[in-house]
Amino acid sequence: MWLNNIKLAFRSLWKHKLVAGINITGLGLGILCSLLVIIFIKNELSYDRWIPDQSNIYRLYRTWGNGNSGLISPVPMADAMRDGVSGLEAVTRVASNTDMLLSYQGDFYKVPEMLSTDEYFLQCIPLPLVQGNPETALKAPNSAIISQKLAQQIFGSNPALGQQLLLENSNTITVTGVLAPFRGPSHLKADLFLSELSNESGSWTGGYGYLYTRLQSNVNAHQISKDASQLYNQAIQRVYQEEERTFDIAKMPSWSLQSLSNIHLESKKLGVTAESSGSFRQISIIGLLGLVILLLAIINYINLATAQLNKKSEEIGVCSVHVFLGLVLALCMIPYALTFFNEMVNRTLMPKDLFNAEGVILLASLTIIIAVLTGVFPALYYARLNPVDSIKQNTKGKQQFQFRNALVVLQFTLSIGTLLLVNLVNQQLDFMLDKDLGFSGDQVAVFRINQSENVDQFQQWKSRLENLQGVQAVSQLSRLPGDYIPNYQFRFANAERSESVNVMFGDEDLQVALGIEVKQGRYFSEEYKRDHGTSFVVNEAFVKKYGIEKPLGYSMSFYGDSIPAQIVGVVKDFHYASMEKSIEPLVMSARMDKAWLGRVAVQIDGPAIANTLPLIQGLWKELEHGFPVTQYFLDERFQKLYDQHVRFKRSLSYTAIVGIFIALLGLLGLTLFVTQQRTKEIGIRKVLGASISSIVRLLSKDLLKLVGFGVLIALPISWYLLQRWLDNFAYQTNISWFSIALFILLALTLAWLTMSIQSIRVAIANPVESLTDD
Amino acid sequence: MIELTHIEKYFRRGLQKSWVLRDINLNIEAGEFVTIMGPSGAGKTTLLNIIGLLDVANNGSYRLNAQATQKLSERRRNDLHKQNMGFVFQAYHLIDDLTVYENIETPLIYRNIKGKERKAMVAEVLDRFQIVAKKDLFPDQLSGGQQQLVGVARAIISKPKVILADEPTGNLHSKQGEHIMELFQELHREGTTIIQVSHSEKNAQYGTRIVNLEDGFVKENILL
Repeated sequence: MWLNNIKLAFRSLWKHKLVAGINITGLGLGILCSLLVIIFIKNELSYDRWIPDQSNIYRLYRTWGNGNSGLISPVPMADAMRDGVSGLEAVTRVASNTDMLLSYQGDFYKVPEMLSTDEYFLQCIPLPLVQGNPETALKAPNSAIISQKLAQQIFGSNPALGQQLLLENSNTITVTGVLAPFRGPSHLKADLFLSELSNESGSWTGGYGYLYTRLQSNVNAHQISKDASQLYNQAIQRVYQEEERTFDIAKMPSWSLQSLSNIHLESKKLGVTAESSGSFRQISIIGLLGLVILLLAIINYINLATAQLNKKSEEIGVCSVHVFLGLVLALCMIPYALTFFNEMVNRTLMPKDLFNAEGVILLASLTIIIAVLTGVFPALYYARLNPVDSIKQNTKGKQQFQFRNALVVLQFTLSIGTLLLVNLVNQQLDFMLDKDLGFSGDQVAVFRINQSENVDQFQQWKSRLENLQGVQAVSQLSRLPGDYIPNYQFRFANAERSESVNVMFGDEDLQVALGIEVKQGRYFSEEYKRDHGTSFVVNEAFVKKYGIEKPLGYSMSFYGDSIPAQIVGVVKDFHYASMEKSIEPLVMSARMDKAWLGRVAVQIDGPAIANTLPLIQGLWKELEHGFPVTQYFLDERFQKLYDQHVRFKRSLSYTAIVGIFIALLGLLGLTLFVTQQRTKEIGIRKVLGASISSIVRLLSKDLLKLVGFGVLIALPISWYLLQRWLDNFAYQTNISWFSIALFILLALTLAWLTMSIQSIRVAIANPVESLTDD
Repeated sequence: MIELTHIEKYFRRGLQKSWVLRDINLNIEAGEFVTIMGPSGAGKTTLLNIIGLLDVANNGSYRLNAQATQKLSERRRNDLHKQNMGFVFQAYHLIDDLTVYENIETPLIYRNIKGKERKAMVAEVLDRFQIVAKKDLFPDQLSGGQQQLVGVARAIISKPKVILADEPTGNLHSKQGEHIMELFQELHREGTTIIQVSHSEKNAQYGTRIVNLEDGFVKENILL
């Protein structure tokens, strides 16, 4: 029996290829989006839950009276807790390091993330090992456990245990364990866990690293946080007594425990800004988006199905075949869709994440729900119809028609709104990428000096670099535009005032190498040897913010520095940070002892870049023998500041494309419905002398009005949202209305084309056919 | 005025042709009032549609006012149809969303007649058919007879040379039917050519000629 039904269903599918295709694509898209969301949410909720005994593992954080929270803990606290708090299985300290350089037998390996920890790490967080003994692996200082991936990369199939590696060209570390591949996602992303924090000394008032603890079973986490707070307060009180400072318990933070499984989703409030960390807000937004897309797809489907009611084939059998084929389509698309989706949510989700017991159950229930919804509603619709009415084809479907209208308006509001946002965000991005930054970054190659003795010697090599053909200027400096620029405390004239100001250190060629313009006075120069210690160059923002009337000769000095110094020049403001912020005051100093001048900026003559780069690299290998040459272009690095916004733009684009597609499907459904409702009228009008174009116009006019209405609603909403987004930027683009108009025109054209397919078909049909039914 | 020679019409059903009109030879002069009769399925309505330029014959020639219509473009045929033809249907086929006034006005809009002139023409017809009071009502607020009256009014508003009526009284009481037929007679007297399809001998008596169709052939041609 049901086999027969399916046979009938496939036959009808073939007969109505166009509508079936639309139906299946629409449903498939809806299912695809909900599958992506399922994969994403499942992944987000599974962080660290696979770690053995995870329910007893916590991370400590403190909260001050003003509501601010922080994760950094004082160095002595771990030892103190081990001795002074009962009920703890283990306490460990963890600090994160990025971009570390490993070498093994002359080959270099980059480790994007390394965790420094102590001998208790594996007792506290029992990550499974495939090699090594977890009891002893991190016991000795400078012993390391590495991921299996890294082990394979360095050692291939040779044994890793006991091998020695050179870290950052200074520390020799010994591999004592290899981690088993993680069975799920984790907030601990490192490839290298190094035991180097045991027996570290530090003060109670400072802090370094995070504190994790594993409780004995049946110990109350709340009690532990109280004990920790008390322990901390007592320690601080002792320190204050020694320093003769007044201790006010009301100003002390309180310590809390955050369970391991919450870390991934609830760390934003603790000041963790890593894009890889998640949040319940993100989960709900994406979940909601998926649900809305699925709902729209289902509603569109029901609309299309009921609009086709004079074609009597629409039965539950057909609907389930549509759902089934939609599902197949969605499953086939998942690998491709995931590449876009991963970019959107900044994860590395895999199709296989869906195919486990839990995933398959979710998938099955989703399919059943969709099948029921899409099957039952049209069936109810037919059942409710008066058979005589449906044969006589009257035009009184007003109420339903209005619901359909509202739906199309909503879909177009959403999709055109997103499209407009894409356009506006794009305008701002282009503006930021094209804006004159005040320095020339496109011909500046930046190199990293690897060894500290080379940092000190570099000034002697400089001329060898300068003499290379195509090199225009060379400067050794601390930080570059686009890097984090640290601030230092300064004492201003007459010591009456002190401010903390960002400082860039560099030699006297910095200004030429980066192409910065001098406004007043001069830049540092070799002629003035004193410059190295006693001169500053500041930017215009500095002069303006601190209201210095005659900047040249103004005296100021590093806080705690006895050498008096003064301003010798003012440079034109340049963007050394993202355009989200306005340009802040900046001090430039040529003091070579104050900071790690580990970078070298080389300005190269434009046309000569291709020839010059290899020369520099060759020379570099000679200067720093045996090290990899680390090099990038300044403008490329600077543009990375906007990665987050570029990603935002991409996410919006994908959403807009899906949205427009669904909206067009909805419009097509409505067109089918309307033309079917008005077939008779169209026939009559043709008999009365209507031309094809006037019929198409008649049909499109009302529908285009709906789309236009959608645009009208979308405009102010996206305008408002854009303004909110633009608030993030100190420098904002002038919005081009022309390109907005172009986008709207594009949307309207797409809408019109969609409607035309159906309305032209109806308009050229022979009226005789539609009028002889009676 | 209307010259049909060897007109053939068939529909393809798979590989087979299903014939509707086999070999129609028929001349109708201006000012005639012709009734096409015949059993169901004889091809009456198809013939009417071909004459009305709504449908095209597969073979044969149809000359309207000595002009061949077979090879005309869709647009030219539409123009010719607009200039010459007015249609009345058994099921009235008024547009449900338009008032009586707007229904009658519609053909004028498609003939690009100016608003003022339209107003005058519609007013005249409403007056003539004594339906002025009904002008703001919608079709479903009218009786069948009244609806057909509007249907006829709409057919003649553009002053067509030919009125084509497909069973115009089929859905009406005999009293209402008589009223419509008298109206046709009056239009005929004024010089309009009328071609109607009817099953009713009584209605045929209003006309000047009866054409009997059977199985797609003209079987009889009776002058009254």
